[in-house]
Amino acid sequence: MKKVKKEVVKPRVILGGSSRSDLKKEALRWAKEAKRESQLWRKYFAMSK
Amino acid sequence: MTRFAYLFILLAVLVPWLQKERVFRILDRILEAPSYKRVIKPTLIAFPSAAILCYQIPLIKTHLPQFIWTWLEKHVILLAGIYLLLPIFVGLEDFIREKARIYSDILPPDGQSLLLKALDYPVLKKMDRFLSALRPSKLNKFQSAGDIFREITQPDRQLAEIIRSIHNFFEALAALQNMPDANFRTVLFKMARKIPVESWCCFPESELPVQGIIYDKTCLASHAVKRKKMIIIEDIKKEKKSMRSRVSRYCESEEGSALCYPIECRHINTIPLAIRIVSDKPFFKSSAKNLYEEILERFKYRILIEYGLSQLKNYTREKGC
Repeated sequence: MKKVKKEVVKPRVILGGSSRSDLKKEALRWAKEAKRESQLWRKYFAMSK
Repeated sequence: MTRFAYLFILLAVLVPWLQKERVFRILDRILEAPSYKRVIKPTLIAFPSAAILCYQIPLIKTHLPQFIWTWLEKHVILLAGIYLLLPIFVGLEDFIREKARIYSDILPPDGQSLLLKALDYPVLKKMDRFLSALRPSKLNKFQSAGDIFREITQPDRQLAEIIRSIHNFFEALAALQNMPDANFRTVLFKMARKIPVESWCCFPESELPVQGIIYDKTCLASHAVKRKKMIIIEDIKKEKKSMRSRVSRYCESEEGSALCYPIECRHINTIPLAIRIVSDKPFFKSSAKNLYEEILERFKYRILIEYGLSQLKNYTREKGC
């Protein structure tokens, strides 16, 4: 069966460097950094108690 | 036998009751209470071993009232029971915590750090643009104040950076909630007459939205704008089967969960934009609606500033200013 190609809509802005793997990598880095930062905050609050 | 019957009836009543989200949140609050953590739990864990230890040391045994030992000797099975119940109890505790986390509508500390990061990200991009304009190679090229203004303010692009940041925020939040495999698709629609008329930007940029969704009155964005409220679809597959499906027929391959947030501008009394985020896993929960609203509201102000700037730029271009 012939595969029908779906028409897609081109967005107004294309930033570039935003493929799925790029975004995933960036998000995982954010998650890691957020975890580390929240640990630092916890330590800070524990010290100031 | 009658006791077992009572226990059975009690369980039959408790099990459906326990499935309620509120109960898990209450139980989680109890487990997190300092009195439970510092007094009740250690006492429960230490009780069987401490009882045996005291029983074996004559000095302690003689100093404690006799009725304790008489009671313990009579109910020695209780000690064995507590030993047996401890691992079950710990497992139950983990289960309650796990469930409560799913139902939680509070952003955990990791999430709060993540939100700050996500809010910073577009600001850093803007800062880069502003400060790059100070480079002598660029400064020499500027002919007028208008040139500088056009170079440093690129609202269309900045708006896309904010949406990218929102996309990353949810991807990272999923990773923090032990769902690193969840894949998200985020689209910002420009709305007019309560229907999407343009895709402003989408992430990942390699997965563009289908053409049919533009001008589709039945799509999720249209529904959210008509209701002027955020819509959360916990199960897209189930939603598609329903008679009043709010998922566009053009999104046939989509599954998982979705969220659509209309961005209202009260100053001009319209909803010019709508964000649609789809996760291929059951990530979005109706119970966390307030939380999502709180998060997206932070971005909403920033989005509206860029949108306003974009519109003003278009206006000045049209007027030839």
